[in-house]
Amino acid sequence: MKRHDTDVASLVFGLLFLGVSAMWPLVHFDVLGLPGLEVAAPVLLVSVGLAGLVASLGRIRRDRDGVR
Amino acid sequence: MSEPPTSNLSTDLRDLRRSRSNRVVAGVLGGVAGRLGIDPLLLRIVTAVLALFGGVGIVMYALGWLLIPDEDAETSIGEQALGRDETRPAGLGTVGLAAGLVLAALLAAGGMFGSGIGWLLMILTVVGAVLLLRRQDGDGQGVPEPQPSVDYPGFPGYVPSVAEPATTDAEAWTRVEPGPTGEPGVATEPAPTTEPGTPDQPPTAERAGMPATALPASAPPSAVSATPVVPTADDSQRTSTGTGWPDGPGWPEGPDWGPSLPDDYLEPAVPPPAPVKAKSSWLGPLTLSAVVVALGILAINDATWASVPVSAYVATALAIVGAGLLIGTWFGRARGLIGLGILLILALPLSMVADGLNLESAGSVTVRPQSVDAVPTGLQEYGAGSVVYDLTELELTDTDSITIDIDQGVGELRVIVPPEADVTVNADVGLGAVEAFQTRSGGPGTSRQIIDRGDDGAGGGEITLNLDLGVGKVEVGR
Repeated sequence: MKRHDTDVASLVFGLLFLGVSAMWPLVHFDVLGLPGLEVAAPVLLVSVGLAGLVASLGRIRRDRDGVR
Repeated sequence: MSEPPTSNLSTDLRDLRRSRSNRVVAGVLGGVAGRLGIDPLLLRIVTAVLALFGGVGIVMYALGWLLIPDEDAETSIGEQALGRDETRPAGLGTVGLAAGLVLAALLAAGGMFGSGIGWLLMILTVVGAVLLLRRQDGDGQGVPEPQPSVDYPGFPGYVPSVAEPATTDAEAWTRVEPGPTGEPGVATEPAPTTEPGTPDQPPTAERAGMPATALPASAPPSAVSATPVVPTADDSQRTSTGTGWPDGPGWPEGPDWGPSLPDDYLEPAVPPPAPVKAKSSWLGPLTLSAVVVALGILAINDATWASVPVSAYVATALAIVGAGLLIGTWFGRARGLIGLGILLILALPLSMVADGLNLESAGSVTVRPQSVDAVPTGLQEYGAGSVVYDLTELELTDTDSITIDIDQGVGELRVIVPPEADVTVNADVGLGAVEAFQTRSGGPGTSRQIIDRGDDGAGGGEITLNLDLGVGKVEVGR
């Protein structure tokens, strides 16, 4: 299997979907509750966004190094 | 025409368009009804009814809007959004449709759990989704679609085959006999089609009346296809017989229509632009198959021993789609899954609402316990409807203490308590109103604790009511 360059869109959405689905049992079995959800949702979004940023920066750096 | 009913399924799906002329919202139902040849009103009624069952109709309509291109557009909104206009226009549509069917069935099953219909729908949907996915793989490898067989007058069952035009032609032309005028060859039966006044004959039948010399032995597919030759500028010089084919003398070598044939079949010689190789990846089908398998396993669990909430299906599908995308970050390519995942995220809260609605217990319920022992213990769950707890027949002493927990989806919840009892009401209403004794409050997210000691002050037994209602009105009185 050939590894291709990081696809940031897939990364961000994949993490987002996994995160949301991981939150489901917490909400369903009432571990989190509404106040917990209000914290967990932004935390998830921020961490997913940060992961996307890091991946994008990594790509930019690799592209630049590749040109040199 | 004897087409197998499934042969043109993907073609039909590809040709599906949202109607411009017959639209109420986005023309989805108008387009589908036009394709099926039925009254759009029927589909609208069905959709409206389905919309009442956990919003299935709404979700299906939204999917149609997203996945079916507009009447004068090549690609759907979803495909445009994902930038997949150029390659395999049916790919995402087909996958999306399969996924949408699964999703709609999940929601429908949530509304009809326990009735058997939900299960039937679920199984049918999974089978349909698998078939659609397999078809899609076939399309990618260029498997020839079965050609409609046309029963020509002279050649019963003659199939204008794409795969072997030369041999089929040879067989066909063996039936051609020399015409009475000594022309190279005129088919016995369809010969009159070259005469004016028989415009109902299909163009191919006219073709069959042509002499054998007219077609080269290695005629490419389009030469025997059902499409008539595009008229060229030379047509004005021909005899206008109405059928578009000259019937004057010397037509086998006629200079006017001969050149038009190359025009016709040179087109396929131009190779279509090679699709980008990375577009068709194993990852998308793999992920969707994994989703289908996982949902099937959940459904088996649900049917046998465990009760699986509807939202568990959606959450599982979402998790697998997310995992597939994560793999796609480095291996393979499956960006089409993003759209599916977004739809699943939207469906998740809907399905969690559907979890709370146990439609089996809908209706009107009255509970009237005669003694303290008869008071139901544990959480009492109700779906939609009117629930009345009449506690007035309880004879409570000062030491008696009872607690009632009620969780209701939608409707009216009334509790009537004995006049002397000390009552603590913990009411939680998602959207609606709470009326307990002399207090009233309402609006979204109403959460109240109301304590009322009755006419006699403290004493007369203790009643604690924990009332949780999704939408509706909670009433507590004496």
